[in-house]
Amino acid sequence: MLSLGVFGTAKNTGKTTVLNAVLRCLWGFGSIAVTSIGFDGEDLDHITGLPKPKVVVDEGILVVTSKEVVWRSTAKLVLLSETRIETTFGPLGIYRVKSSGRVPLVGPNSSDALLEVKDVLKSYDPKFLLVDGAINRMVPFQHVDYIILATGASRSRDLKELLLEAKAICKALALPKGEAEDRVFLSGPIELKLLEKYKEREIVVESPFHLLLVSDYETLFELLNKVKIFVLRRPELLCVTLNPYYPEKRVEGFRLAMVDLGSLKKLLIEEVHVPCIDVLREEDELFKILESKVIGKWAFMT
Amino acid sequence: MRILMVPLDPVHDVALKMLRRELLKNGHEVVLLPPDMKVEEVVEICRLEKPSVIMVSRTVGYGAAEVLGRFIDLLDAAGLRKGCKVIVGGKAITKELAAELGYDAGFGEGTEWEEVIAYVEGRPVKRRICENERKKRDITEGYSYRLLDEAFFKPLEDIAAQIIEWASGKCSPGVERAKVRERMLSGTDALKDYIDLCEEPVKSFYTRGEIPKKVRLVGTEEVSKFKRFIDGLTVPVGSSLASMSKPLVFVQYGTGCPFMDGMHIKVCEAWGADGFLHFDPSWGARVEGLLEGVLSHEEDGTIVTLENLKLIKSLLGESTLWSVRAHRGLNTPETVLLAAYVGADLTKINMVYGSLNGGTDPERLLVDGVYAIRLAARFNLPFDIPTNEELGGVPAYKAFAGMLVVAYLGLKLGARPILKPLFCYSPDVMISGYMEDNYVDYNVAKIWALREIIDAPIWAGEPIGFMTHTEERVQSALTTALHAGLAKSLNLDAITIASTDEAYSRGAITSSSRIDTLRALKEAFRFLGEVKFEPTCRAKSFKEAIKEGILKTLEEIARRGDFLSSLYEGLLGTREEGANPGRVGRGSVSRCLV
Repeated sequence: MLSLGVFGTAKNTGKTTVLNAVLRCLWGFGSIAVTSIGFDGEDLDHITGLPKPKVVVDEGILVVTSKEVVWRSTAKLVLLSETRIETTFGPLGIYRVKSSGRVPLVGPNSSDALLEVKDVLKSYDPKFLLVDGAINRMVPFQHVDYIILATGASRSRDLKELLLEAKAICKALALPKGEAEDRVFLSGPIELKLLEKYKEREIVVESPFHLLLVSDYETLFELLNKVKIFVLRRPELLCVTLNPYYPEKRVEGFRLAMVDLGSLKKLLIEEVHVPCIDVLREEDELFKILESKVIGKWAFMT
Repeated sequence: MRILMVPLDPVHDVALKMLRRELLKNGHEVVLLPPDMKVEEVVEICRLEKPSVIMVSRTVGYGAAEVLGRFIDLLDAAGLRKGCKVIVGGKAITKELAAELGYDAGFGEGTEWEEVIAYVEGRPVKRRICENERKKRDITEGYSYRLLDEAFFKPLEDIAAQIIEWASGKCSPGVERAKVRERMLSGTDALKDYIDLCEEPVKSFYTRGEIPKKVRLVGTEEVSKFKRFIDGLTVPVGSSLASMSKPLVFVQYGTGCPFMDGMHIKVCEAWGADGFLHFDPSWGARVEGLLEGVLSHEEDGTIVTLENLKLIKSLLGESTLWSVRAHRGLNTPETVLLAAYVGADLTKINMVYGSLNGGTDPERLLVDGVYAIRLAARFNLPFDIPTNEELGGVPAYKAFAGMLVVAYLGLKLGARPILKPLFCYSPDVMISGYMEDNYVDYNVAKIWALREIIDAPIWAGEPIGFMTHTEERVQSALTTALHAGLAKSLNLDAITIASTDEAYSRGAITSSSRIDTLRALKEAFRFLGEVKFEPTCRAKSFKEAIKEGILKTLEEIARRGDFLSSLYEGLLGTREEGANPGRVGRGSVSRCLV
C-alpha cells in the first residue's frame, strides 16, 4: 500500500480540492482508501462561514471515518469493521462505498493513530491510501510515502512570505535520508538554536516535519542550506499546489477574493525545482505527476 | 491523575480555574500554567511533567486555530501523544473543530464540568439527579381539593348537584359514539354503528374513502421511515427547565403534520420542556365523528385520530407529560376516551368556555362534558379547565366562576380537576386598566383569589403572556420568560408557553422559535432562583374584587337553579362582554334509550 498525504500550510489552501482531484486520478488504477488527520465535511467553514468543498468518493473506495459522522454522508457506506482508534467522534470504522457521494471524514488525529490505521487497512489490501490534512498540521505525514503541499493566498497575501515558506518546506522535504550511527541524533521537534549549536556536525532528525515546527522560516531556510542534516523518514514531495483564492475579511463578514500567484509559481519552480500547479486549472498536470510517480511506482512494486 | 492545564490564550483562564477546583475535589493532581506562554515552552513542560491529560483552553478567533494546530503537532513530534489525552476547551470550540485540530476531545459553550471530568476519568457522565430521575410528575399530587372559604360551599354544591341531576338520562351522538368507540377498542366490530352516528365529511370518509379537503393520508412506509429516523436520533431529554421544582413547562403543538409535531417535541424535550398539549384543528370540534389513520393536515391543528395519537405517544420521552385537549367540541367524550386508551396523562374539559366562545351549543356540551368528566374519572385522567373566554372579553371573575363550577362538578364525579387561569392581557383588563402599571399585580391577584377559595393545582395558560406578545422575537421570548418567572415566583404547578412566532407565524411554527422561548425561560429561572416578585398593594384589592365577583356570580347561578339557562342568559358572560353561546350541535341532545 502506498500512502499519499495532502499537507496544507493553512485553512482554505485547497486541500480538499486537491484530494478530490487525486481521487479522480487514481480511481481506476486500483483500490483506494481515504481518511483525514482532521475533520472534513463541514458545509461552511467553522470560522469564515464560507462554503467549502467536500470529499467525494466513488463506489468501492474504502473510507476510514468515525461512526458518529457517517449519517452525514450522502454516499452509501457499508461498515466492514470497527477499530479501537479513538477520535472526538468516537472510534473509527472502516467502510466501503456502495454508491458515490460526499463523505464526512474524521480520521486518526496523531502520528501513532495514523500508523494504527495503516496497520488495520493491511487486511483489506488497498493499493493507495489518501490522507487529507487539517489546518496547518503536518507531523502525522512523517508516516506517508508521498506528499502534496497545498499553499496559497489563504496562508498569506504576501508573495515573498509565501515563497519563503514554500521554499523552506520543499528544502526540508528534500533532505537526504540517513541513519543515526556516527551522527548526532536529535529527537523531537527541533529548535533553531539547536541547529546553530551543531552547525559543524552531521545531524539526524526524525523527519522534515520535526524541523518545520519553528516559527522563523527565514532562519530555518538559511540553516537548512548550511547544516548537514539527515532525516530518518520522510515522504517524497510530488508537487506544490497553489490556490489563488482566500477568504477576505470585510465589515459584513468574509467573502472570497483572489490574488494572482503567477510570479510565485515561476520563482518556486526556478528556486526549488518542484512542479507547481493550480489544481482547478491544471488538473491534468497533477494527473501526469501521479501517473509517472505513484502509479508507476506501484506497478514497479508489483 | 496528573493534569496539566494550559491557557493558550492572552488572558482567559477562568474556565480552567473552575475546572481545577472540581478536579482537585476528585483527588487529581493539577498543574495550572499561566496564560500566554509560548507553545514551545509548554511542550517542554509537558515533557518534564508527563501528565496523563493536557487541557488547553482558548477563545477562538482568526489565527487561534493555527496556534492550536501547531501545539498538537509539537506534542506529536515530541512523542507525547501516546497515553496522554489532549483536550481543548473554549466558548467557540465544537467537536468538529477539535477533530480538525487533532485533539482527543473538545468542549464548547454549555459544557457541564461533569462532562469534562467524566472524560478525563474515562467514565460515563453522571447525570445530575434531576436528569436521571426525571420522572413523570402528577400535577394534582398533594392537593386536598378542600374548599378553603366556606362561603363558596353552598352555591357550588347546589350548582353541581343541579347539573348532575339535569344531565342524568340525557344523551347525545357524542356520548353514543364514545360508547360505540369503547366497544370497538375492546375488539368488537362496530364500525357501522359508529358511522351511523357521524356526519359529513366523516361519513364519506368511511363509506366512500373520500379524504376531506386539505387532509392527506400518510402512507405506512412514510410512517415507518419516520419512526426509524426518530429511533436513530440520540436526542437527550434535557434536564427540566425548572430543575425539578415548579412550574412544569408545557408546550402546545399542532402544526397539522404529526411528523413535524414529533420533531418539535424532540427539540423541546432536549431543551427542557416537561410536557406537551395536543391541539386539533378547529373543524374537528364542529363535525360529528372522528377520522382514522395517520393524517396530515395543511392548516393549524393536528387531527385527532387513534393512529395520530399513537404515533405521537410513541415519540414521547418516558418522563414527558402529555395532554390531549377534548374540551370544546362534538367529540369531547370520545377524545377523552382515546386519550386515556393511548396513554395520555392529562386532558382538558371545560363546558363553559367551550360553549360560550362561539363553539358548541351549551346544552350539548354540558351533556357531553359530564360524560367526558365521568370518563376522565374512570380512567384516572386529571383534566384542566381553561378560562379562555377571558380572551373574548369576559371578565376574569366570571370565567373563574365557570371554571370553579366545572372543577367542583369534576370532584363530585370523582375526577381530579386542574385550574387553568390565564396569565393574559385580556380585553377586560385593557378596558378596565388593570395592567396600566404592570402585568404583575392583576395576574398575582387571580392566583391569590383562587388559592383562597380552593386547595387545588393551578396551571397558568394558555399560553402565558397571551396578548402581550408581538411579532418581534426577542420581545416575545422575553415577555414569556417574565410571565414564567412570575409563575415560578407564585409556585404554580405548571405553565404553557408559546413559541416566539406563535402569535404571528403566518403558517407553521418553527422549531427554532420554540428554542427561543425555552432558552429565555431557562435564563429567567436561573436569574430568579428562589427570589419572589413583589406585587404592589393593588394586587390585594384586585384579589378582593375578583373573589367577590366570583362569589356573586356563583350565588346568582345557584339562585337561578338552572345552570344551562345561566349559560344562555349570560350569567357567565354576556354577549356584550364577548360570550356568545355556540350553535354547533344544537338540538342534538336526546333521552337515553337505556
